[in-house]
Amino acid sequence: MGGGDSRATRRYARALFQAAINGQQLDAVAENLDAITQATRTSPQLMNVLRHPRITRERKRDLLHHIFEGRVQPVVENFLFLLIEKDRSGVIPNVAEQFRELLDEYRREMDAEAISAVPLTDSQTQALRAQLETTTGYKIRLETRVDDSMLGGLVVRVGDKLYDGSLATQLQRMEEQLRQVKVS
Amino acid sequence: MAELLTNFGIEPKFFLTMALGFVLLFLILKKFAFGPIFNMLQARQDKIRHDLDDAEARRNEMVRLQKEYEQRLAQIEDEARNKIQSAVKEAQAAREELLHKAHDEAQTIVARGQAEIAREREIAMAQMRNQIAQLSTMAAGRIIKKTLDPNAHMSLVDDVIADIGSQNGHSAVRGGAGMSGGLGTAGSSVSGGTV
Repeated sequence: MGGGDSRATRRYARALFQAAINGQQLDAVAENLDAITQATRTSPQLMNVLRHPRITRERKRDLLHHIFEGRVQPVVENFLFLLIEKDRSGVIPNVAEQFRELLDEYRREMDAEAISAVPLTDSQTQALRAQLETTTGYKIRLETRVDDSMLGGLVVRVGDKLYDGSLATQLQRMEEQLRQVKVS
Repeated sequence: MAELLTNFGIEPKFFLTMALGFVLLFLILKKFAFGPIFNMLQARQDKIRHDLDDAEARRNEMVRLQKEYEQRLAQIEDEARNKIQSAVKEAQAAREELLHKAHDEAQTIVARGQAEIAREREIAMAQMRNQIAQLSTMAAGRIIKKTLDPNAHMSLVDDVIADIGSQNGHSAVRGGAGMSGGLGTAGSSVSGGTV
C-alpha cells in the first residue's frame, strides 16, 4: 500500500467516523467494519472482484448490496458504495483498522497484553490494569496470557510500549554479559 | 811521346785513332746518353730514397698502431675487469636482496601464523565463553523454574506492576530475586495522537 493510499485510508476512516458519531452508531459501525474485514479475509475472491478493473462499478455495488444488505448500517453500506465510486475498495480492511484506532482514541481506550509465567491473580490483573490506566491515561482492555518460557515476572505490551520485567529477559541479558566477558 | 808508345808496343796512329774515337764517342755519349742515364740514375736514387722513406714511415705507422693496439688491449682488459667487478657486485647485491626478501617473507609467514593462532585462540575462547554463558543461563533457568514458589512468582509480578507506575515506561524495571531487570520500548514512544 502506497503513501497516497494510507492518506486516503485515514481520510475515509475519519469521514466515516464523523458520520458514525453524528448518527450515534460508533459501536455498530465498528462491528460492521470488522465483519466486512473478516469477510474479505475469509474470501479473498471478494477483494479480487472489488479490485478488478474490468468489473464495472455497477456490478461491484450490486455484489456488495447483495452480500451486506440489511446486515450492515446504511451509513456503512453508503460508505462502501462511495469507495466503489472512487475505485478505493482496496482500502476497506485498512479503513476498519483505522476506524478502530479512531474509536479507541475517541473513547480513550487502549489494548494491552500481559504475558506471565504463571497466571495472574484477579487482584494482580486489576492492579496492573489500574497501573496502566494511570500511566497512560487511557482505559485499558487487558488480555493476559501465560507463557512459562518467561520463567517469572511479567511482560506488558501497551500501545507501542513494552515493559519487560521477565526473568527470561534478565537471564538473556546475563548471558549476553557473560559472552562479553574478556578472558585472557 | 811516339817513342814511348812504340816502346810499349802501341802504334801511335792507332792510338791516336783510338783516342780520337774515344773522344768522339765520349762527346756523342755526353750529348745524347749521359743526361738520360743521369736522370735515370737520379730517378732511381730518388725512388729508392722514397721507398726507404716510405718503409720508414710504414714502420713508424706500424709502431704507432702497435702501441695503439696495446693501449686498446689494455683498455679492453680494464673494461672487462670493470665489468666483471660490477657483475660480481651486482650478484652480491642480488644475493643480499634475495636473502633480505627471504628473511622478510619468513617474518611475514611467522607473523601470519602467529596472527592465525591468535585468531583461532580468540575464536575458541569466544566459543567457550558462549558455551559457558549458555550453560550457565540454562542452569540458572532450570534452578529458577524449580525454586520459584507461587509466593515468589506473586512477588515478582507485584514488583513489575509497581515499577510500571514508578518509571513510566522509560527507565529500568527492577525485577525480583536480586537481579536487575530492564525495560525497553518497542518502536517509537507513545504519542497521544496516534493511539
